[in-house]
Amino acid sequence: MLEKLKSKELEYAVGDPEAPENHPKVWYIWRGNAIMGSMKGHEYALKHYLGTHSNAIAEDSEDHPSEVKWHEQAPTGKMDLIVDLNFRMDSSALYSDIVLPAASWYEKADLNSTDLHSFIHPLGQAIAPVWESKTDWDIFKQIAKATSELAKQALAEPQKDVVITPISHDSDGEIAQPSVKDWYKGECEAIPGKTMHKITGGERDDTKIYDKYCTLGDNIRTKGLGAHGNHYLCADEFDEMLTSNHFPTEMVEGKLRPSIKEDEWAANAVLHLSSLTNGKLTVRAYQNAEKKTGLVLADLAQGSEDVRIRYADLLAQPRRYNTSPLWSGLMNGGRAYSAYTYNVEPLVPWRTLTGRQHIYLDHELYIAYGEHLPTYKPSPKPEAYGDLRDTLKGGEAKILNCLTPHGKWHIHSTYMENLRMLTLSRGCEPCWLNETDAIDLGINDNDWVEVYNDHGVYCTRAVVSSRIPRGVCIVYHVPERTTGIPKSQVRGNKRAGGHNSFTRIHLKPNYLCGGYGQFSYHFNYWGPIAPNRDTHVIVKKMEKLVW
Amino acid sequence: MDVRAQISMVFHLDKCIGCHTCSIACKNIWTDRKGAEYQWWNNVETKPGTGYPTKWEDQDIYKGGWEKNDKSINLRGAGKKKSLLNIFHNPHLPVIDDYYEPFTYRYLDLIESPAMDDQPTARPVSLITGKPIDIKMGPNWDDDLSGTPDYARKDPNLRDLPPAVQEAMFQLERMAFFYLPRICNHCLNPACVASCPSGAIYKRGEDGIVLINQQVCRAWRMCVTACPYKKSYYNWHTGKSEKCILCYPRLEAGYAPACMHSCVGRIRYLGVLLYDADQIETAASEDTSKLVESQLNMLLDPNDPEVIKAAKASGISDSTIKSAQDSPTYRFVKEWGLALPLHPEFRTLPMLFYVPPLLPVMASLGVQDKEQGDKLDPIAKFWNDDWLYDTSTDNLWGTIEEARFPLKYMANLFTAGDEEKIKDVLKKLMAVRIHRRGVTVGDIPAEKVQKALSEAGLNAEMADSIYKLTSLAKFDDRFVIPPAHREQAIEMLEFTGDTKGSTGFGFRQKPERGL
Repeated sequence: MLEKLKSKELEYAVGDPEAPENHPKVWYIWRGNAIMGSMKGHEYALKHYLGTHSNAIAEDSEDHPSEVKWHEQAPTGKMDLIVDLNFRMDSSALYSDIVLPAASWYEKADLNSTDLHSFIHPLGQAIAPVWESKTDWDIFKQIAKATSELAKQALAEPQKDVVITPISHDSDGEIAQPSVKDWYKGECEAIPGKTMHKITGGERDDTKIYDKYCTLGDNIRTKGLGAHGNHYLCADEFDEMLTSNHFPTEMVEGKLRPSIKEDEWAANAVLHLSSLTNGKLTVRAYQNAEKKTGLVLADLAQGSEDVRIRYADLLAQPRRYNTSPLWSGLMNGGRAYSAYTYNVEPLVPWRTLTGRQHIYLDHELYIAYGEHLPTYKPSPKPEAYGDLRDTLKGGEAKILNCLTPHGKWHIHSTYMENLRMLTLSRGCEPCWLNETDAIDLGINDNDWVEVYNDHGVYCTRAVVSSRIPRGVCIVYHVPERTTGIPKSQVRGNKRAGGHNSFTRIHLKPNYLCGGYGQFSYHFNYWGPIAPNRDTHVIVKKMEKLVW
Repeated sequence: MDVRAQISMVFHLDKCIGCHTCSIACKNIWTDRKGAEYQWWNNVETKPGTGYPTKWEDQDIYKGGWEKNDKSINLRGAGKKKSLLNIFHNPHLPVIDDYYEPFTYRYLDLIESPAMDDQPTARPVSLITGKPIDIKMGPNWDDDLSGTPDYARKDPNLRDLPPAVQEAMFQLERMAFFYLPRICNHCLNPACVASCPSGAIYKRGEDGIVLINQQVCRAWRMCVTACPYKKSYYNWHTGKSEKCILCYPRLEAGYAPACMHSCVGRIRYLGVLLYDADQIETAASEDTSKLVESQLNMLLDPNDPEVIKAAKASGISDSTIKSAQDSPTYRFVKEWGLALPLHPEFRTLPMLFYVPPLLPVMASLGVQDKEQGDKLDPIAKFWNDDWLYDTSTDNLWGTIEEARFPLKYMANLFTAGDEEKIKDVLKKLMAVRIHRRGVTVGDIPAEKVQKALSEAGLNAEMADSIYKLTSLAKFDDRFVIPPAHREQAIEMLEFTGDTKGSTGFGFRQKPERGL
């Protein structure tokens, strides 16, 4: 396979993302409001992913990529099916083919935690899921079951998969690429895990998805667990789940396995096998860290050895988890969590290329982009972003820098369209304007306005405030398309969108380099993201209001 | 001396983050009903702003509270004589648009909409008429200086400030705002009680909570006009007036009121104050400049043997006296002199006191700090050096004089315009900070700390107590709730032997038949 990739006999899907066989067809949306909340470039996504209406008017750029295949006509409606697990009628539900009624926070068992506060919170089931709704755990379990049943007919035999994974942080690969060289262009030899991604193989048996969903597999027993450069074996704790009376088990094809069939069982399995909630594993994780660093660290687990936190304990009262090498804060003796005290005090090397903190980044791509030192850089001018090329064809207008920070009234879109919170604000997610700018634009407080650029339009009411600097307007994120969005007059009487309608994705090239210490890919931590929503807009008073 | 017990409140405004959790807690428990949708017994306002109902503080419009004539006082807008003359006419009532027209959204349109080229959206509709509505007002409409030209700049408390001073309050990098949470003040001289032609409003003997008897209320709405804080509301569905009941069913069970229990910033304190009811009339009739002092003078020392003796003679139980001795509000209001009544000039003797905010005061200084400015790279200097914050303590009280919030503005809220009084409180708050900085950071000389404390009338021990009750207070420190003496209530109604074993069971009233 490596040879085929080298000779380009085998091409990557990312080399031609517009080809019908290469784009994703089915999208499950779970625990988020992806279509409005997270979707920078919302109107483009509506057009190309969903194939629905769109208020984007921007033209494609004349500059085309050289390595990615260019299609004159970009495909629209790439998705075949969108399934949304949701307990709210939010903007994502509005655009989904199927909305599966999901249990809310008070109708299911789940765990909640973060390294920001050092507590583990339960989501206790106060009432049964209302009407036909089900817990996330049950919904996925039933989808797994139906998939396994169908697979017996469609994919009865195990399938061979090739799995391509990026060179990841906390692995040997993070010192693999001292310079930026592309094997694809022939600049270096293609060596998996060194100059290119890793290639591994695997076998997938779709008829067993349900069994695997409901039980813990042997890999945990034989390989152990870990994260963030830590590792511990847990075969004894795994075996305890089979022999003690405290854990449910399941017989799968003649073999006894720990069962995680019910949400609460899964929560208990997590708690039992984590170094944060099982003191025996806390000690073990520190002993491994000692071997790796040559430092004395196991004393940090002192007093935690006998801690065993179960789900029922959490229900009684949220608990603080053990100090563990998994997170970088030391909490011994009731100390408040403070990140990186693990590195500053016992001098455990930082998870960077040098093991120290970096203020200067000696990487050629960072130097090339002037990002090697954290210095002041002015915000790009509207022309650089090209947000208003077509919008300004109509003539001169006052351009405002539009920001979409976190709102006071909601966590992203959650609670935004809650009646109480809408009542305690302006009944909508308004556009905040400076007093003088508002006078210049002939806009009074609470007037209906259109906030628009080439990417799309949001119709809302103006809030005129001395709190806003001149030249800036703010639409807090995330408004919902579900409540009180009138039709846009600048787009010919089409329903306006939300705050992401006037944004687009700007990739930051630095994030694409890898294999270099802290700049190595790590899921949900480091990788090519769309870093900002900062954009430029025109704000215009709406003369006519159409619902 | 006629000693009585009052459950009183202190709200510490430096700690309020304006999250409105209190409002939600109250709304969900008490006013989530038809006819009460627009009522927010607890609301939080941004100051400067006009609040809810809009401009409620402006008694030229609403004619609430008492006014002083020669020696005595009369209700300003409603009174027995006035209401007799205008028996069916109550011209100073706020109308629904002064509060806001409550609304919801036509959510079903999202599901029942026919196929269209566009997505459906749920339009706002009035909760009163059910028809589509153009939302023009809400219970927190001027939140965080929204609509500054129409609201914050028209705050009635700005009235006697020079235009230049007002303008400075709304300049970027110089402005400040703070939150003012409000509930019924459960006043000692309640205008609502005095105004009610039906005698439906009363002040509970045991704890001073002001209540409207829903069986007796005859919808005169005189209380709505009379309350200068606009904390009595008319329910258009039941035809009765309603107000904050200080969650008395919770208090009687030993729980803090829902607004206080849920408070995220832990700004709220509740406790018993003992006062001398003989002084009510004279205290409420004092000259404006002496109102705060006279109100505080009515509050009695719960550890004074004479007071205890008189309290017992008035039938106040030992457990209530003990609560008064442990009361956090007594410490804030009397011992430390940190908390002030809101708009004492309304003369209702409110029993909710506020610790005025210091933070926006400290964050402002008009002094040029060249040394600090020179340290900055020119590229960072896009602002004026005058705006740099100065946290030095060379000039101990200078920062208070040069406050972002003019002292006059704060005085108009809490001391009937007396700037010296508000300054005294702010000095104390500042002295506590200077003292604590000395303790925790240790970069302030002991003499300087001592000077700050003594000039503010405090000592180190008091400052530590203030710090403790402000920053570290736990639930039981913040809420000292007098135990309810249910046996006394039952005793007043009937022979206890008759109700033994039956309390809490059966119908209080005979069920009506034929419905």
